[in-house]
Amino acid sequence: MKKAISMVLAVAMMATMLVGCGKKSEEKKVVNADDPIVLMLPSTSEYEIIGYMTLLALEKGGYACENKIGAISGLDMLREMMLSDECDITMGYTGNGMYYMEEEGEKVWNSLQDGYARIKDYDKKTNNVDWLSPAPANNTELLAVTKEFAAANNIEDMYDFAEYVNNGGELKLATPQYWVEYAQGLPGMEKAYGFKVAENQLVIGAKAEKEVSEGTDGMNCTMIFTTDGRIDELGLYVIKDPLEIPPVYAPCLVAKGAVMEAYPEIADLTNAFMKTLTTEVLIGLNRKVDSEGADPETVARDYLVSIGLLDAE
Amino acid sequence: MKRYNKTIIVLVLISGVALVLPQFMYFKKLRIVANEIISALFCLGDAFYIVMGLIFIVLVLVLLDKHWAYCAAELFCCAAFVLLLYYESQSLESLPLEKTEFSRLSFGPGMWLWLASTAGVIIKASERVKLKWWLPLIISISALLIAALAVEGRLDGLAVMKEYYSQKSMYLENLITHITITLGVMAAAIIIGVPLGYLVQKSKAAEKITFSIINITETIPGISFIALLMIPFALLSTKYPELRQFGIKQFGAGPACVALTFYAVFPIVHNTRAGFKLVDGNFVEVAKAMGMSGSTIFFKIMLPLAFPAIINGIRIAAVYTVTGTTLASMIGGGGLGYYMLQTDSMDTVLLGAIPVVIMAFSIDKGLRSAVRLLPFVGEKRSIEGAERGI
Amino acid sequence: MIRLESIRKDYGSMTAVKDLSLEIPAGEICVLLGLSGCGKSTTLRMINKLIPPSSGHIYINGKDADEYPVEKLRQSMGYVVQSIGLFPHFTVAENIATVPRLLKWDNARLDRRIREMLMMVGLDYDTYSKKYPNELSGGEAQRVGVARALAADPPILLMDEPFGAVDPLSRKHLQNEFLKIQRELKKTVIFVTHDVEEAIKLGDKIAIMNCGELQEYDTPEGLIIRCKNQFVKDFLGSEYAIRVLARFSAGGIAHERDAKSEVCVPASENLQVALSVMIERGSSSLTVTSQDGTSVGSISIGDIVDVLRNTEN
Repeated sequence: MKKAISMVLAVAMMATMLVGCGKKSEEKKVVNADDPIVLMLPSTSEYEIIGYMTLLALEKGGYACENKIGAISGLDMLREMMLSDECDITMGYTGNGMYYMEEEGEKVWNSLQDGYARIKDYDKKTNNVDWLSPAPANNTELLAVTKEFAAANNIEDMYDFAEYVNNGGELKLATPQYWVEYAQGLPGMEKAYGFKVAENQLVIGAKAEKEVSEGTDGMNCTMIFTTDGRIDELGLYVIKDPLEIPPVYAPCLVAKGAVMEAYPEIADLTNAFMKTLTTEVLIGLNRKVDSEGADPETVARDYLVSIGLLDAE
Repeated sequence: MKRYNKTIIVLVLISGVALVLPQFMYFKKLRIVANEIISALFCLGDAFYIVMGLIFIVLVLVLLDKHWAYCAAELFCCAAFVLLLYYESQSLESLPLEKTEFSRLSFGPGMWLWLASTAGVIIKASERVKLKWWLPLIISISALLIAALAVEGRLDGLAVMKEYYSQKSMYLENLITHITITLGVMAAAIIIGVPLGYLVQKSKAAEKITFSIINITETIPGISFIALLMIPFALLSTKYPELRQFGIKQFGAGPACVALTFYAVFPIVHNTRAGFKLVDGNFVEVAKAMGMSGSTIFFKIMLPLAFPAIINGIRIAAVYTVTGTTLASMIGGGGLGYYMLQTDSMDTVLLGAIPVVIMAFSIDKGLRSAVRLLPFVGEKRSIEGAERGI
Repeated sequence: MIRLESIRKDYGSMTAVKDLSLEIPAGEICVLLGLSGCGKSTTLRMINKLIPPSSGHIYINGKDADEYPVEKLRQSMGYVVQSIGLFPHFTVAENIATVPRLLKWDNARLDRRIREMLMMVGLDYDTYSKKYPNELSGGEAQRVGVARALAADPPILLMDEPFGAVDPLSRKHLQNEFLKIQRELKKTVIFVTHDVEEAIKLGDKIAIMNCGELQEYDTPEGLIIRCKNQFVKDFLGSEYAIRVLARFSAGGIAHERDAKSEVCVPASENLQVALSVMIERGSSSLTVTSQDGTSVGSISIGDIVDVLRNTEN
């Protein structure tokens, strides 16, 4: 009986092993043919676009890569993948450093350079992970409303928004859980600009860009990531934040220390395009994928061609 | 007679109403936002009358309440569907709306209502159609026509097609992964489940152990189970990194496969057990008395007689697994779930859902027919009747 | 030839068969007769080891049955049951071929045998061989059952109330056909039934059982002449003697002397019929006629009365 069970479990494990077998890899001749660099990014537009830019740049530079772009849906697993050796290169944001170092609320994260230096230092020492040069962009968390709403209520920046709220203006704000909890999120905004969103005005769960644009369920305001490509199509307006409350989230490629030691040229190859990615450029690229339905690889390729890093085919 | 007829007539009328509703299709200037809600008349132009005409013909046929009329009704319903898709797509260019190269037409509530009611008409009509091969034939031809149109780019106005083009690079791979996972899980589930099903009806101890495990795992929701399983997988892969190449790692299809296997084993064990229980002990005794050895009796008598029930269990498990595999994408396992979880665009969801539905449907119908083809299926009652000299 | 020596079967505290000893000569039909629960079916199933005896021995042709491998033993015994038990997923032909296939007959021999068997039980090969059991009537199914039991030409046939599930008319036909087959094949048959008439009709010898014990074992005629057992007398019933008359034909006891009576009876008819005719017509003697009507002798009522004693002597 026991023997039967263990045999059966063994067969089951074998079967799942065979099925769970690795993804296909894009082999090309090259420098590290027997040990391709594993690129893994989640399936969100910005990650995928930058991911493909990296892939294309590295391949042009003569490196073999294993393409796992878009392999996972959730962002929370990203760092774990890197730390558990699932991949060699992935992407991160400088502001996230405050979570990894458990320094929520520290002012250092509000500066791109300082935040970058801090997390770079920490991860190198603690996990032997290299943060490559950041893009000069800020994909941070701000509030967005429809253009009509902004025009109708004269809202240009957070001061105007605070005034609107304090005057008892109708508000239904959608936001993910974490943003109402930490110091540089909603509470920080409220403190800095002097307003308070009531419990019944909050819809906690997820960002609701599409719903706000359509006015579903009476929602008229949402937290948004500032490089969201759909802003234009959805007719949204991102409320300006003169006091710069939330941390700076600049996209950076994050690579395993061992990989960088072996192939330090990677830094230059990737910096060549990363330095051109401003917030506006990112919004434009995201827009192509989200609103126009282009596929991220094509968008990446076209962009690299347009800045002269890749030859047009 | 008239009572049956009422349902079909109502369904046909609903499909006609759907075509007239002002919210038939969505026009999207770009990818996400439905800028205009348009009616069928506005969208299809003259073709609107053609489709309306077809619906009217179907109504007349259904009222005739004759066998051949139902066959013809099914034919016209399928034809209407193909024509609708074609004309909807074609109409994109001629719509007097502000367009970009990324504009597309997406199914609106009206179109969905039309689809649902027409599907209902076909199903109800098939109850009255005796020719078993007619409907599958019509559907296959329609599918081929739609495929041909799609390949030629004639359906490019539709949002689904546009989504397909933007997802094309990974689509085939995800589809294959999905199928592979399903097949792999089913293979494992059958290898485990069928012998287990036999064991549990033979031994009380086996029954107790098996069902106490299965009853627990059945109640754990899929996502949580997968998350739970990631822990042992992670532990194993950190301790034995060599296992990584076999897919034993924290992410990827591994944990999903194990979870899905657990779920698939359940109906297989249940149905196999019932199948063997149903095998009349009489046959086994007669076989024994004729000098058959234990294994011969099992393979030549018991297994074939339990086969229909076993196949039923496999059918249920397979349909569940095909749909359950969508969870694998959440942890990097790939598969069509990748598309079904993208909430921005309903059409992306469709891109994932359509193959899943087709597969689930085919597996279900296919295995049902396979069982019916066995010459002795459903005949148990008549055997007992024969024994009593009836 | 089968010999049972002090066979006993206990189920816990209940004894189904007590100390049964019986000898069945080769080529004869031995009927095990008794009420339900008397142990007759149990005895039958001990012969082919479906039920292992608690003690005692069974000898087949002088050799202890334990010395044969069980499967070989069973393959040499045909088995026909009341529920018929034709395998529902085999055709008629495949059912009949069951034991021969176990004996690894080649296909040509198999096919010939199937034709032979179907002909023997009175079923047309072309019509029936490809049918499935669910398409047969009760009578047809049991014929196939008999054909299946005889297919491998076993020397021994075990039959457990084989015609019980069939309507009385079909049963009569089946019994007659079975007798015809037996006259040709001369198998050693153990036949279990609770029907006294069937026992009389088919049995060369009858073994009457009650509560697991053998009460009497004798020819049907012998049971009248020699039996002193009150239970047996009660069991057989007060009309038993008249029933036994059915075993004798008029032609069999006709005296070749002048047949003076005008009342005739065909030679093929049994003495029950002859007696009935005598009573009906009020004649104490009958002329026995052959098929063409010519007289072959005569019988008197005295002949009928003495027939058993005359036979036994």
